[in-house]
Amino acid sequence: MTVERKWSGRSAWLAAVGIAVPLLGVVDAVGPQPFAAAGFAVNLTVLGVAGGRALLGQAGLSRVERATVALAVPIGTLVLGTVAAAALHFQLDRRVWAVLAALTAEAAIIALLWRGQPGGPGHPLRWPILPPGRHGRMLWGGLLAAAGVILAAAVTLSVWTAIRQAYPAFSALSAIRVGPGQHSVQIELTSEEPAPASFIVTVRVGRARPEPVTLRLASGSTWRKTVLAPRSSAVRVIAYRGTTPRTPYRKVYLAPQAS
Amino acid sequence: MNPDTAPIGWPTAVISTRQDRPSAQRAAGLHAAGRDHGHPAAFPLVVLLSSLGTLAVAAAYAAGRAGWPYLTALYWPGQLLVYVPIALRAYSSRLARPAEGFALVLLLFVQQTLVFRLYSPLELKFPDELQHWRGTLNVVHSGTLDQANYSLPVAVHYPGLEALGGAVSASTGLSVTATAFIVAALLHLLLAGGLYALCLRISADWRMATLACVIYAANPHYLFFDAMYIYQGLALPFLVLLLWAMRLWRSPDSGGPLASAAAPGGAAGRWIVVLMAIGVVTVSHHITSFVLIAALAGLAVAGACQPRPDRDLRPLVVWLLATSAVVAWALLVARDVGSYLAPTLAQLGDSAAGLVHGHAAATGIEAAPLWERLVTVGTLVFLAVLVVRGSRDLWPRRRGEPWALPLIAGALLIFALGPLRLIASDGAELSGRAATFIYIPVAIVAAMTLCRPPRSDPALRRGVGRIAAGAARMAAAAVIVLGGIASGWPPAWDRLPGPYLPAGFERSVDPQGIAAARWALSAFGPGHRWAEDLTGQSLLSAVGDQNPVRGVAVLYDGQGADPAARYLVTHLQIRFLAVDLRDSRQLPASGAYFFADPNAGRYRAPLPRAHLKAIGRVAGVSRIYDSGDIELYDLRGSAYDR
Repeated sequence: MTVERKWSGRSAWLAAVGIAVPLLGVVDAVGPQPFAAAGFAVNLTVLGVAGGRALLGQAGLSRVERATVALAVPIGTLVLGTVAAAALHFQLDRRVWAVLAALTAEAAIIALLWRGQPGGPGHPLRWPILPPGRHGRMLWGGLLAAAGVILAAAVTLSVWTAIRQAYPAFSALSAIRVGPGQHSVQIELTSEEPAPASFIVTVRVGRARPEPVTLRLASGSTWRKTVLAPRSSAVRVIAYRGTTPRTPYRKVYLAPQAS
Repeated sequence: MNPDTAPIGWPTAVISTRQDRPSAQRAAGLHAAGRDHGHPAAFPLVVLLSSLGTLAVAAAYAAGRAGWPYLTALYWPGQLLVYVPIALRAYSSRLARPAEGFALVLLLFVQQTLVFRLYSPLELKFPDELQHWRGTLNVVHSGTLDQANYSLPVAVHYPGLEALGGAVSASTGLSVTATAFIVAALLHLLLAGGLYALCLRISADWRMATLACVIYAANPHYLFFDAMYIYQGLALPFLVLLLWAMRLWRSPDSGGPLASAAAPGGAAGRWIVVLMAIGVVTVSHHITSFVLIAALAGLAVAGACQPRPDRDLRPLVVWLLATSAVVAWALLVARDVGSYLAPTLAQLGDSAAGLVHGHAAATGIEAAPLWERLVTVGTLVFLAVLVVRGSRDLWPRRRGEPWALPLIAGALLIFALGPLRLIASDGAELSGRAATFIYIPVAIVAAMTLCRPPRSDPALRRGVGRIAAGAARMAAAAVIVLGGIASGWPPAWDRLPGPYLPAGFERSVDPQGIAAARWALSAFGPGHRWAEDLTGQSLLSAVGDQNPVRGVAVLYDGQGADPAARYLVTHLQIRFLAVDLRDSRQLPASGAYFFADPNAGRYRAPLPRAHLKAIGRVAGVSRIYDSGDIELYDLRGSAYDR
């Protein structure tokens, strides 16, 4: 009787999950983030836990094995389901994966309900590792908290130094022919200098006199200019750092092309 | 219990369920000096020490980035602190609960994952990861699995990882980089769990499973390469899972602790797990699928050769299914896998032929410091001794067990690692990659050797003997992990993050190179043919989605548009060329400036700057991009292109 009562209670619980899965699938497919992500994650979790139990049962498997299968099943399902969907020429997007996760999770729930496996004895290995007694648990808690602080410090140190890692500053000058017939040249100057910097850019088309442009760029910003230039004309663009054109800082040029 | 179907292990280790025996009886077997619970604070103390190790490694990384020379010395002590306390605890006689054993495995996974990710905590820098980052980005943007991935063309035909990453990224709204971090960690966790489960099923001894996982975690590529977001990272856990699922078949008859409560009526489910694992491995990674076929062949032969009524043809069926799937996939979908692997195989053949004729190949190990080379050899010797001892004891006792012979044969492949390292011109990397698979049986057999009943010498349990034994264990753990890291990835010059290095793989990934690659994509769109150096190839193909041309060193020889250069440009349809002037300031960290560099390993001076600048002076060449160190050229319509 105990098993039957447990089984009926489990069936009701599974049925509730079975009803929730398609709803979560809808949220996953069309809902806003982060609700969609939550729906996706929950359905995959249901798929892993229910699918693992439906496939292998739980009796005779250790918790490690059950957890491993619960992790592997959604991964394997996503991989093979996506490959199958691509082979069937489905456009792979959020909706396809939402349907895949929801359908397979629902199938796992139905399989588990159909199989009707009562709770097994589980694996005989015992897992609790906490020591008995208040003192022992306090010691554990203290040491683990200290370890957590140390790991947090390690992560913080790495992230902090990675953000602040010094790379040589640079600015990039480019010029390419664009437009119909490529009669225009698009010029870009992107500054990755550590601070706002002044530049003078001169553009010379063919034998025409260079046209200087003075500009000031914030770090990470880009200046763009499009000039008309026949394909048969050479184009030379020089960027000078500062406010007076002395030594060329960056230089690009386009060779004349046959018409 | 039928001895032919008992789990592989030492007789004392498979005596019924440990919980059924009093602690004193257990102590008389495997760990004579063991107490039931050990010190109550041992596990958190191990966590604390191991975390200090991670902090020390993080400090060394930080020192590398910030240029603090003294703190870089913390790297090796940190690595030792991460691994050795866990290994010693795993071997300890005081380890009394299976939960703590698996907790140690999980702890090692967490610490090593942190050690790996803290190398570059904000972005993907490893070239192999960048290749799959590009593939995943293509899946998310195009909604198909067949968009060309110029950084790793063969990966388009093994799209398992990109399918998984695309699903997670598109469904959660996470960036592909964040997705790669999470997916790689989950796959690594799956590998740790799967390996523990497999070892548990083979040995029926959680101590042995714990120790085997800890030994495996010291394999050369486990710390970095196997933890990356790469297609092997997906295929490997499913290979292990497949072996585990097959091992379940034997459990009902085994009589071991795990067999007594085996699930009835789960045969169909196990077959589904087996088929799923075969499918995932097949569509995810070529080498792993070939290893899968080889491993299954061994198990199939061993199972079929059993005398009746223990003959088991299920492994043969699984082998036939796996072989059919892998061959069909290679013939129908991944038709380029042969041409992708051919250069490596040819290189191996050439190296072996060269060795026969007395020409040893360059291996890369020479670049490492002497102590690293010694400790690498020490690791191989130590593990080889454990494997030989384990095999010698295992064979006469368990030869009737179908898994015994494949297990021993796989473990003995450790003797191939040393020669592979020596004969191949890229031997260090190849042997490291082979170790990923070979270390599975090696770790199991070595763990069996270490878990064998100790000699009943009372002197070893007291005073100096006990201290010496402890020191020997500590030294062994240190050698195993140091040798693994020293012979794995990254190489010595790349072990810490730091300033730019030419041809230095992850050390060459910097904002200037990434900006140039992004500009190329925005200016021209994907798929244009580029000539570039090693770093340019990695960044332009992965970040810039451009189509790199390999073997282009002749374009950088300062001869301009000579016939050889013109032939290369016209026949390989090279449209653009990238020059990194930093190649003229430093020698290549990896020994070669270019892919298929004819001067690899022979550079005595950096490339002459005049040679790099000569390209821009060829008639008709346009310099379209200049960021100081990086110059991009348009060769269309130039003297190269005629």
